Amino acid sequence: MLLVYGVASPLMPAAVLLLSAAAALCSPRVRLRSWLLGMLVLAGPMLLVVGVVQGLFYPGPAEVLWSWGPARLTAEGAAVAAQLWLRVAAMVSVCLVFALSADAGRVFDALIVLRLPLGLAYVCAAAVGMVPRLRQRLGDTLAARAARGHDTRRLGVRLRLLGGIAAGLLLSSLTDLDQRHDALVQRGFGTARRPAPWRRYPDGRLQRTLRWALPALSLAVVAASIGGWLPLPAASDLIPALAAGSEHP
Amino acid sequence: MNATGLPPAGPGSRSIRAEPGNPIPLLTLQKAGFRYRDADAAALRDIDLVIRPGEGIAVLGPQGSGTSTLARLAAGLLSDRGEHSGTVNRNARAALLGDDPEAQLTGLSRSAAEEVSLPARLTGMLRDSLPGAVGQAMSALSIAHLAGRDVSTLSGGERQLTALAGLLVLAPPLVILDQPGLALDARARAHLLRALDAHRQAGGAVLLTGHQHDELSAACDHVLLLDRGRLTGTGNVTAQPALLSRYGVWDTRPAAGPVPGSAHSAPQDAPFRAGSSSCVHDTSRLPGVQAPGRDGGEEGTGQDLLLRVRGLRVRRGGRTVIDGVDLDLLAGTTTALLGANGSGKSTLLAALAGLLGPADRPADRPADRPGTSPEDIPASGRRRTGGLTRGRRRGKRPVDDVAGSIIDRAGTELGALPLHARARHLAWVGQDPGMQLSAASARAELEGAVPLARHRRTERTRLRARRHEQVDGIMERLDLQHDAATHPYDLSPARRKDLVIASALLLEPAALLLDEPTLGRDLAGMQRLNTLLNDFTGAGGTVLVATHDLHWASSIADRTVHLCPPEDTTPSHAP
Repeated sequence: MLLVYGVASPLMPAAVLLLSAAAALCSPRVRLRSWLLGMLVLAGPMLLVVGVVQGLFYPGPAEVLWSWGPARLTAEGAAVAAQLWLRVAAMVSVCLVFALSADAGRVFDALIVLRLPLGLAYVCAAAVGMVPRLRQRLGDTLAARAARGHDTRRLGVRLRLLGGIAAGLLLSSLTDLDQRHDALVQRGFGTARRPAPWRRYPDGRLQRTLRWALPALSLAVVAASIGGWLPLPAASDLIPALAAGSEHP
Repeated sequence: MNATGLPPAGPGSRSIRAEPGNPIPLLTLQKAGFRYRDADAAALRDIDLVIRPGEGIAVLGPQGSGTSTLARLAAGLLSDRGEHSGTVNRNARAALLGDDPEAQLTGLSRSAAEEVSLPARLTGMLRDSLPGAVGQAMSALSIAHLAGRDVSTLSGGERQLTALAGLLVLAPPLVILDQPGLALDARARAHLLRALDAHRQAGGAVLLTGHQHDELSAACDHVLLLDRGRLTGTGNVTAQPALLSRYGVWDTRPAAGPVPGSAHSAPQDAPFRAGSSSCVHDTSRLPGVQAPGRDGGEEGTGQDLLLRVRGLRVRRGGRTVIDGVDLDLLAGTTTALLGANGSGKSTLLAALAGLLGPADRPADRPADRPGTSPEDIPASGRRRTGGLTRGRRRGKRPVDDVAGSIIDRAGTELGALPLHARARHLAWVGQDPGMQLSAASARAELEGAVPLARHRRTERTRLRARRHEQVDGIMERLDLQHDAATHPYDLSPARRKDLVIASALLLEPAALLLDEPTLGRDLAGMQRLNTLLNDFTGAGGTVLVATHDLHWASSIADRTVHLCPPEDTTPSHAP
């Protein structure tokens, strides 16, 4: 978040987006299809909205690249749309890689080791655990509908069933939360301020170095960007250049 | 007798009273009552109950009598859920294991050992002491072999025992168990019984609640009976099974009497027929069951063969769960699928229903052609999920792998049909009914559960009217009319299961696949289920039912099939 919002250039969120895509591709625990689907669902609608609102109907005076009726693609509008979407998409992609690859138990242990309050550690771990659980439940629910004769391979059928399935998922998630709360109360949650981790996670020298170096590097990059020592192009510089490049190949 | 037909509730029959010289009670309820927020009537009224160290008390009653509420009240889990009356004194820590295996896990652990260790960690146990404490708790329930298993792969019974082991790590003086035997096989129940005995001998106490009388409640010092929120009677229920019937409690013990609503006597032993390396033992009351014929009928029985399964093999998560099962289902019969927790009963039903693979199977393959020999199938009829090649190449999680042949009466290879097309032949009712429900009311659930047949727009009104009539009929058969407007999640687990069975019947299938349909049922629920199954088989259908209730299975089933885990190939007799 620090990098994608701290540096004005769209190259930074684009780089973060590419890096997280590479991580999704290479990670043995993340399925690329799940990551892409997550991106489509969470970042896709925003691309559509900013593309139409900012890209085609930018209100101020601007350099018009293309127009059709009331819609006009402007360099400034496209720059704003690209910047907005890239920032959100970069954050969503990193969160997705983390949520799809992390395991709730390990996140809980790690946050406790990092001395976060017990309640906050539980909320974060529960949120991470909810991703695979919802995915599993959605798959099971669709299979259950197919087991009653609905051809859930067809998009039209899925859309028709969407309301009921979404309501069922929401309700079962709320019930889950309630049940999990009771289960944790039964297990003495809150008795110890700092529960012992299940296992020791060996922290190598490189990992330890990266843990401190990466935030420091991020701060330095942001500071350099604000101070004007990092000459990265802004979106408003890139769009006209790209448009000109496409006109004169 | 009072107006309810129950014995008079005298003071001695309603409570176990403190006596001079007795140790300090772990739990005392005096005139305790509870009413849920927004409920018209109290769920519990005037409960007097005292539990001392070393005691085991079972409180049984029918659905809606308040047994689960009593368990939660005793555990202190109702503090902000409604209005209390009377007094509840807990002099020691109490731990509750609820009836739903899904709800017992915390979601913060990957392996079973990690889940068992969590309570100890949360209460401050040092890391170095964890392995010993976890090992001891798991060994006490004979589940040490599950330590490294991913909790998401555990069966319902295994989850239940894992959750209980976690609670026992804390050594709570009072252990409260709500319907603990539901998802457990006989061996697991015996292990649990030993663990509870040891707990009581060590000075702990056990409070057990439920709708069914089993080996666990029979081992308690006192069995109390609950009716509409009141402790109204007690007695030696083991010696008086009729008392249980009068209170609407189902007796699961094999020694119990005949099953109401069941037309069968106990099945006869038939010669062991080893169909596979998955150790399928077959006990049948059908005359002359032999190797299945290929003419669509079972040799020597004269009954229609509705489903023939050959060489069914399932691998899940890199583990062989079912290894070459052969099975024949005849028209007009019920087959009970028995086996230990984790033996693959649910997996077998799910594999038959087509739930373990992708729905989009290629249509043109040898397996699609009627009369294809099962031996021809494995290479082409093999189905995998999630892109096996990619998963293996990149070292991602192992995927399901299902192979074998499932042929219906007409000779169609059902294994080659996509899931939705198979539903018309094999209607599956899973163990967790919540997953199969999504509408806002019971009636809406049934109206939309099954898609209407392909039709022209002009026919829609007629088809909907017909569906409406069908739903009316099925709701009446299952006595669901009064719950028509109720949200499915507000129904009791047994009624939810009835609703899912009703949706399966709308498919008008040849075979019903039921996974643990007796869970949480009281006597009335069992009678309803028996009537339904008898009607279904009487109309020529066939039922395959996975269950741990041996008493019920021996009464309702024409044949019992015992499924062993693939590793266990030692022949044994079906119970």
